[in-house]
Amino acid sequence: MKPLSILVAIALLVGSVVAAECGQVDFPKKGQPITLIIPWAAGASSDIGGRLLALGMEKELGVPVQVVNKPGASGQVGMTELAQSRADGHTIAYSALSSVAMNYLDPGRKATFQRKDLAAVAAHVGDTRAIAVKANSPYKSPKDLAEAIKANPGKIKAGTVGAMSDTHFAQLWFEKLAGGQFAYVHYRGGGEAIPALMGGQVDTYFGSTSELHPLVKSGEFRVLAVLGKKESPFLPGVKTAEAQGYPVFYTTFRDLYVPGATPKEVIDILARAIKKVMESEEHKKKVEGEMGLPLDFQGPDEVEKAWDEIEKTMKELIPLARK
Amino acid sequence: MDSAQLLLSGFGAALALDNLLYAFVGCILGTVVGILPGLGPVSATAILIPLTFHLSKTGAIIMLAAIYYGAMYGGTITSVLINVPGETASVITCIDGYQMARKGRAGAALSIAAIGSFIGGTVAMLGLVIAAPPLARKALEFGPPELFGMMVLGLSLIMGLAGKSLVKGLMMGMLGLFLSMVGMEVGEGIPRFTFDSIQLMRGIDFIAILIGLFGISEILLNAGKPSSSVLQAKMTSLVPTRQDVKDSAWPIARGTVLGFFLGLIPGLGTAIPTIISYVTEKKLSKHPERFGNGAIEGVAGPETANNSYANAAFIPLLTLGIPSSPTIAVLMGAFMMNGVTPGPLLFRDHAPLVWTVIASMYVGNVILLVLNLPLIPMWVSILRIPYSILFTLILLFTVVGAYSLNNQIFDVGVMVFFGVIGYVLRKLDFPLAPIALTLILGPIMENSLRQSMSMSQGSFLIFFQRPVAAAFLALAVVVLVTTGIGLARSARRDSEV
Repeated sequence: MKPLSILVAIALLVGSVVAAECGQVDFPKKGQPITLIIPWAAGASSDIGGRLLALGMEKELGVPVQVVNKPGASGQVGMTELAQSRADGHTIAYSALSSVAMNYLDPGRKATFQRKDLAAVAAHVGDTRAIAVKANSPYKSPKDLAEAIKANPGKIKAGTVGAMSDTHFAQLWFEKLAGGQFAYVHYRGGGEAIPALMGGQVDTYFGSTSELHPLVKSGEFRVLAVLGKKESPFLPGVKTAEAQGYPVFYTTFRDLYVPGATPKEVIDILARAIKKVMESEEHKKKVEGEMGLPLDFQGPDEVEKAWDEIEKTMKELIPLARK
Repeated sequence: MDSAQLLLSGFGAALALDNLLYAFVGCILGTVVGILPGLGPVSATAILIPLTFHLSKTGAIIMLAAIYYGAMYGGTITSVLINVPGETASVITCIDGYQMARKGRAGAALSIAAIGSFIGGTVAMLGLVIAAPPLARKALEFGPPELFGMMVLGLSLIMGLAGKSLVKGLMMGMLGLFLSMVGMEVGEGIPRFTFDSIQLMRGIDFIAILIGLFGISEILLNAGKPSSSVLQAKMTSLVPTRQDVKDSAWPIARGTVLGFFLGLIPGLGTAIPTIISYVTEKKLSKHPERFGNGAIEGVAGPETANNSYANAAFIPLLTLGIPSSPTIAVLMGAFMMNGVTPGPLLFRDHAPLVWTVIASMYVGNVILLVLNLPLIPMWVSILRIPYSILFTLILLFTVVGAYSLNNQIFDVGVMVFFGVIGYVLRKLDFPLAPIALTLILGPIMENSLRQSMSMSQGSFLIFFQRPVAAAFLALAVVVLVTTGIGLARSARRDSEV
């Protein structure tokens, strides 16, 4: 095992030197498939979004892109596998930036990889979160909700899609600004948390725009605020939380990653291909038009910047979740 | 009778050649998915979604739905024939289905399962047309405290599954509960019993455990016998006897009702209805000792319940737009990718499409029945393969199955490990059914307890303030007391003799 991995390392080193000298890299290698790790179970809307991207990338790159689901431990299983993969661009992963950062920043999880073990390729979807309540709820604005949790700390029930999930973190952030406290009811995924809000088991849920907007349209839920820098076209007429005095920003980004040592040229080739797929009408129609997942392309450098930001946020919120 | 008319025109569209073909292909694919252990309907539908892009909207949804309910039929086959559950909904069928096969009655087991599935599926669809929207809304009031009450009732019924020794049964129940606790804990997201292993952090896949406990241990046990005696029984009959039909009638009826109502409750999953049905049938049976030894009721009830559940789970999806199980969530994705958003407005905005899909589900249930009954002799004839050859095939099959659960070789190791454990336990006469039950019920019970506690800020009063939860808990107490008295009596009788 050991000698082999040293050999591989040498081969890679030689390979990258040669490539650098030639000024271009041999990527993707003809006939060698790309493996796209999705660290969630098959079937979630995020999984299907990733699969659609894989279909497009196959055409752009001219090699098969195989999707492999490696679910478990909030994405940590799949991302650990990516971090340990060969850094040649033929193994990539599709995950949410916030959970990737949480995976190594949460001390309870005994980090199995660090940020340096991964590199960002591009952002695909930016699904902004929003504060939802039932249509007949007494809360009409973020202020109503904030005052309620301040006046009755621990009495207003907030559903999440799991402890230390994006919903949980967004709610913690709001709670901090409001100076109050929610009672957290952790469900396993939106498939359980949304019915819980519909059935009145919980009072609020900070869901993603894509899952909330059909239910707002059908008159089931009311959205008090969008947790984005700007309003969402999917939720017309809803102001941002910031505009209403509560500067909470939470967008669930779904990004593509490669192992940390992957050459910059390879990352750029991948990012260009992803950009092209995302510009195609077919992809826009399927992902944004029909599934309601807002596309938001960002290149490697932009994602790295967003990563810095999310690390800062996580460092503040994780201790709150763990208190 | 607007909806009757719409349904009729839906049938018209569903019986059109192309839609019929999609339903047929979906049913076949679903059966295959059901047969392959590991590859469940969730991943299968997710993987096949891109393929359906080339079909019409209606065609795509018809086919994906057919894969989903078709898998409920297919899963039975391997459970009965080789004691390997094809997917979660057929775990319970292993217990009595395989025993029936060993007595040469695999044909009867498969036939009853197919008939029960047909009845359960069809009646649930009828419920969808008649009473769907108000029922689905009512079911949302079934929250964590009620779920917890129901799980406690389910666990209390386990005592009845203990077999000869109550202590051994309870030990196995505890083992199952313990195994279900490995991994990330749901309330705080803290790793539990993981020894810093990333594989254990994800939790031990209960299907991998069960394939090992049931399937692999069976092979190991048979390896110790002269090869001619493994399936000693002649195939007595392929069709159920009159007595079988009589014994199955009530379990099928109860399974239908049970599956239907559980299908309305979000977050249960396909295994729970089968377990509840099984323990109920055993509790109600005049001959509970037959359970575990090839009681046809133990196949008829759960197999009906899972199909009734699978079809009823469409109700919250179509009427409220909520996916009540992971597979239904995938189907919801399929609807949305075709520009159709499930929910209250669905019947208004996309009436022809919805009614065509509903009608095609009736048609699909008929297709599955017609497809499955004639194939039973073929499936059963697999058992004619000499065991020395058959077991290698079963092993291959289970290894592929365990791997495809999560694409992890670790799960294959888990399966083999629990195969050996299962062998030892069976040699020592420990019952395996309680492990299966607590493995599946345990996590849901824990989650619902944690959720209830956060809802009530740590007060147990919540279980008594909510009438449905209180009723379940009261029933659980009754079950425990009566079972306890019964056991004490029989113990005294034994000691007098």
